Amino acid sequence: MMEHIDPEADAYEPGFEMKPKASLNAENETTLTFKRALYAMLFGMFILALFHSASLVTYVRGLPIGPVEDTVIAVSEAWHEQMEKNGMTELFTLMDESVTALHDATWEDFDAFVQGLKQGEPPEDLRGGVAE
Amino acid sequence: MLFPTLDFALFFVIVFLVAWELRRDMDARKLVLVFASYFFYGYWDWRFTLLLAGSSLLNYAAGRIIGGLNDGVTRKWVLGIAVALNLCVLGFFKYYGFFLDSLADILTTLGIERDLPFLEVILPVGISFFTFQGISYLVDVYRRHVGASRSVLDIFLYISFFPQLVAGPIVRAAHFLPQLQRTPHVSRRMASLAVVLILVGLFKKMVIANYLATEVVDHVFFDPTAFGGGDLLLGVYAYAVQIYCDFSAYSDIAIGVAALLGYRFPRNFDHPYRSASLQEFWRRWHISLSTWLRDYLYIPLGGSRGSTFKTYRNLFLTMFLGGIWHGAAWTFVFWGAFHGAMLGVERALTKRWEDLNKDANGYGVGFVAFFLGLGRSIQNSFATVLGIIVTFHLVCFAWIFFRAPTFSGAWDYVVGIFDWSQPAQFATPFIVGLVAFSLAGQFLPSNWAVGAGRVLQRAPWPVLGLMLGFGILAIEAMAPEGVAPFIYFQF
Repeated sequence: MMEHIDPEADAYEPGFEMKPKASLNAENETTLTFKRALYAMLFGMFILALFHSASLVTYVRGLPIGPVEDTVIAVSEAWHEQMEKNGMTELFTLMDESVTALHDATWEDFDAFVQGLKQGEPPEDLRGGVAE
Repeated sequence: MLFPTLDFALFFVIVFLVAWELRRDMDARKLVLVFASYFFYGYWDWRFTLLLAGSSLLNYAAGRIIGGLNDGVTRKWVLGIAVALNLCVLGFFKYYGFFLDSLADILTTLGIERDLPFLEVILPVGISFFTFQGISYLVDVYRRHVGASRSVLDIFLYISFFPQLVAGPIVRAAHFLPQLQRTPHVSRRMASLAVVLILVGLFKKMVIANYLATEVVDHVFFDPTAFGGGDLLLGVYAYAVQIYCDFSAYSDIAIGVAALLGYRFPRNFDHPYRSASLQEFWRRWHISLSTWLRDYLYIPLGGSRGSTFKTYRNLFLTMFLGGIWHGAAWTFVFWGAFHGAMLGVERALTKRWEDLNKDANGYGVGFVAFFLGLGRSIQNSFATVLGIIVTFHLVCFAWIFFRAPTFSGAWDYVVGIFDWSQPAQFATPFIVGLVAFSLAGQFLPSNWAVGAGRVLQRAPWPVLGLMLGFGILAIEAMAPEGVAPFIYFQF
């Protein structure tokens, strides 16, 4: 049986070369992983375009002046307006405000926060307001 | 082009797509990656690409000549000339202004007036990194660790590969070139780990490093005399965290991006601030540079094979030259010399301590522990904690000179730390929390990112996409305005 198999890959017609199974598995895994990563990256960008459309507008406004660029700017601004109207940008604003609150907190705010936790009272956020 | 920008995101998606579509045609893939790398580099200034191409051509030709020679003496000569040419290019761009300034100062001191040929030399981004990679290739060929590449494309890609081009890690020819001979492969696990590393890197750079830089470090180092000891002490701790987060973030992202393209880079940082000795610190900090200096400088100098004096001399010289590598300034000279001297002191003390232990009872039980009646484990734990604290503070002391714009500025900083007459104005809960959180992160398990990647590898693409999208969204929301360049771009 073995003598019928030519071990030289060059002996085969192009496209019919024999490949070890491990190599085929690796190639298969690479194809699947490539697709998985590509879709994930594109989906991630779509999420950013949905929830952080303001950065898209900032970016396109930095593009050079030209008819194509003007159209891109107009489309981006319209997209951002729609996202704002539908409340998609609020998540980013909420996260931004929370970090700003943490950033601006003083040691008195921090003490009050810790005291609140110790006494089992509803925790106040670090600016003094009661968290909902 | 900076990593944490939309420009890079768009660039990378295109390169990723094209590179994997061409994976069966290796030469076309390499050509695309070289073109992409030159585009990435030329984004700062297209003239830099000529230097990069010149460096690649020089090393390719020298590698071919060394590889084709059998006579040991001639090989050594060719290697010497090629390494010297590499260092001349690096020296011109990095040290021309420094030497001319120093020469002018000396001449003025001696009362001699001369018109010196001052030139406005722009330092090309990442020149040290690609020069070191070129030298690594030549020495590896000379030592026959890797064969001289016949493919000019391979050498161009090795020297210019965009993920590590401007700030490392310094990839060895013997590590990278064989990867170019194989069909590229990316596993589910590699891709998941890459996503973890990229997100962690973005968080470290955009949130931690940028906040600490803009809110504390830049202010205290600009004019240390305007602040009290509390602020200056917090400032140096903040800088220790900033430079770690900034530099390791670049390495994390570079390793992640290269992994997504199917290439493996070595680890560059391993929780350096938990080191209990300076020797350990240098095994965990900028590992690719430390090992480069060890293999291409310390060992050729003789390493620890000669007399005790020669070992200390080699250690000192290696760190001293490592300091100068960072830049043409007396502050870097001091930084390197300080690390070199302290490594020598540490080595001498360790040896003395071991001798003392042996003399005490001959069984290696600690002398102090034996005397106090403490168990060996308690002694070891105490020594480790003490070692971590002392090492961290020695490193921080050296960072003051590394960061300060001038030597006198660094000295003002050191003196100012002992003046506690002014209240600390930067010690807000946020900044203190950020520094404490980052230092606590140094004690996470070494392979925590690998573990996180393993968990993520089972996730389908929508979950991975959600993680990427919301991860970057959260980082954007947390980060201060603007994108500061990475610290190591200047080296």
